[in-house]
Amino acid sequence: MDLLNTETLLYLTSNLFRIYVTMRFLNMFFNKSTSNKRIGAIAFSLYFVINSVLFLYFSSPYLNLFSNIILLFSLTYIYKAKLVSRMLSTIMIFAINLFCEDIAYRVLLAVHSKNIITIGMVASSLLMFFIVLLCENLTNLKDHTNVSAISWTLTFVIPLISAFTSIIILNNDSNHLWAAAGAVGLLLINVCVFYLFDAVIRSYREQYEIALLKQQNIAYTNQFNMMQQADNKIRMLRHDLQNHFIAVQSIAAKGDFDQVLDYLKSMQEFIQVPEQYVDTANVVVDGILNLKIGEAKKCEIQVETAVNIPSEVGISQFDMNIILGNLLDNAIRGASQCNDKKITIQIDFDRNTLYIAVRNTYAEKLRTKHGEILTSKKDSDQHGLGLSIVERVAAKYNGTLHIEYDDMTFLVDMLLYLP
Amino acid sequence: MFRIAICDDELEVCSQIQEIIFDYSQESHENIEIQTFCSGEELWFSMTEGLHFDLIFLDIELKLLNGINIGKKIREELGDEMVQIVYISSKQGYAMALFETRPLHFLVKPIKPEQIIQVVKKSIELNATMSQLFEFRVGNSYQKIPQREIIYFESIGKKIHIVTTKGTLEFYGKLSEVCDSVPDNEFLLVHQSYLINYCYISEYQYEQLTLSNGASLPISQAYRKAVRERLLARKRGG
Repeated sequence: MDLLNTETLLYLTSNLFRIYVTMRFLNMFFNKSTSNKRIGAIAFSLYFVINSVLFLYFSSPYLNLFSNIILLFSLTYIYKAKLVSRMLSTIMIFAINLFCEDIAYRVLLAVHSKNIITIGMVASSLLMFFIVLLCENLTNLKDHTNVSAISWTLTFVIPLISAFTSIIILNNDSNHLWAAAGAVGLLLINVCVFYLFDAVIRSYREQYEIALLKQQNIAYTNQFNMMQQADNKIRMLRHDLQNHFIAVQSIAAKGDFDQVLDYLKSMQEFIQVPEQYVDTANVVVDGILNLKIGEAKKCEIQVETAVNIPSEVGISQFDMNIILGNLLDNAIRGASQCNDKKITIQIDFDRNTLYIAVRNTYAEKLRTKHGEILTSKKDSDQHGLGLSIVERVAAKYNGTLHIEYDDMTFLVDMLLYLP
Repeated sequence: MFRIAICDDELEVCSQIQEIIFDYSQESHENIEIQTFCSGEELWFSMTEGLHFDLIFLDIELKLLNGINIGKKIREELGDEMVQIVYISSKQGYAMALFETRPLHFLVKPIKPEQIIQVVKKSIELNATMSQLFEFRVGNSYQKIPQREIIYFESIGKKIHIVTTKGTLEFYGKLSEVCDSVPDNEFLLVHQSYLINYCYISEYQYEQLTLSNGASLPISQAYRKAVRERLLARKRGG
């Protein structure tokens, strides 16, 4: 009786865990946002109940096989997808499941363990978990999202060590129920660790967005201040215009043209607002460019701009900020480390496309690692992260990042299609 | 003979630009003819009377008929996509309407001589390629049409249809052969059956193009990335 209960407990828990892993697989294959959360919850619960009942009350392995495939296939209907994708994903998940069980049982057979079935259930589900985490990391790499060393470590260490530990615990049959509880605990730890990890990643992303909004805010405030300054200066000039005219006329009447020129020059200089580097009437672009060019100038970098853009362009302020902000941050970092510090910014609107190019001089030798470009050790994460974020934003507008460099100049450019 | 028109209500600007271009034509031995206009109406009147230009420097802030309107009229009423327009302005900041006339460039006063020379050089280059003739065989004879008149080539069955500003012509041939005989940087292959003249494209989208005559042509999926790369390379090369 005792054995039966423990086995059932272990079966139910590992089945539950396996369903959690299946859910992660499905979220990877299909677009998570097309799933209805409530229907999903009900469907997964039903799957658990039906699956468990069939296994516990009927001992036919063929029934299990058949029902598993059917139930799995029907689970795919939680998401919006084509029939082919549904069939492919079902077959894949099923195959991986079989594969993991097979490996687990072979290993257990080889070590002559007792209770192969119970241990096998737990170990195979942990193995499947390991595989889904691996696949998630690989998918993230493909999407150019950074997969940190921590992520890789957790992926390998936690499920595999848990599987190993569970085998050891369950092999020792001194106290079955406690052993079973231990195994259940391990499965629970796995779920918790990765739930926490996902939450941490999400929090990082949110922090990045907040930082971005702050930067955008600063850029806008900066721009606004500049506009106010220019406005004030013009107002003052207009106020005194009459006096200025009289002054110039009297100097001219005396025939002293050099003095006239000097006077006019000082009037011209008075109107200039020194920090207004770019004035394209496109508030968004002006804002972020002026902010970044100001930063560049502080690092003694020479900046040249060629911006031809209408006052209203179909790119959201947020996206423009991300693209220009990141590209210029990288350019400033690169240029400030060499002797001939120069940055060139080109933005060209033409027939519904937007061409953006940032060139900068640089000194450090670039190392390429896994296709990502690195600069110094500290910067490498930020540099690569920045470009991958820009790439994702560019993809929204069907654009792609192009990078090329020679010994002296580094160029990043892109062509975006406006909606 | 490369014909340039300068239209600005400020006489000094007209003569400044004229001088710069004249000096350049002497140095480079290019055959350039320059005409200046003090108002938009004068320029428009000459053009409607049949006077043709290859490059027009157009002041945006003219008094009556301003630069934007003339640009629009040239593209829409005269249907002339070949003439290059360079807008001159005393300030930066342009409305979308200006971009819709597909100008070559924008210059802000005070204008530097290098800017004028660069623009003239580029314009002459573009014009030279477009003046070349496209030859094709119809029956036993060879016919030639200037490339500047070709809007696009379409391959239908065993024939190629040439849609031009003056009508449509047909001849037996393969689009791949046509691709080889026209310059790479003037015609764009967007589909197995469509080869389009860059100058007649009025709007780019990732999945399709809109031509200046209003027609929309699809960019087939296989060609989308390649088209984007070509456009990118074109922009990069300035």
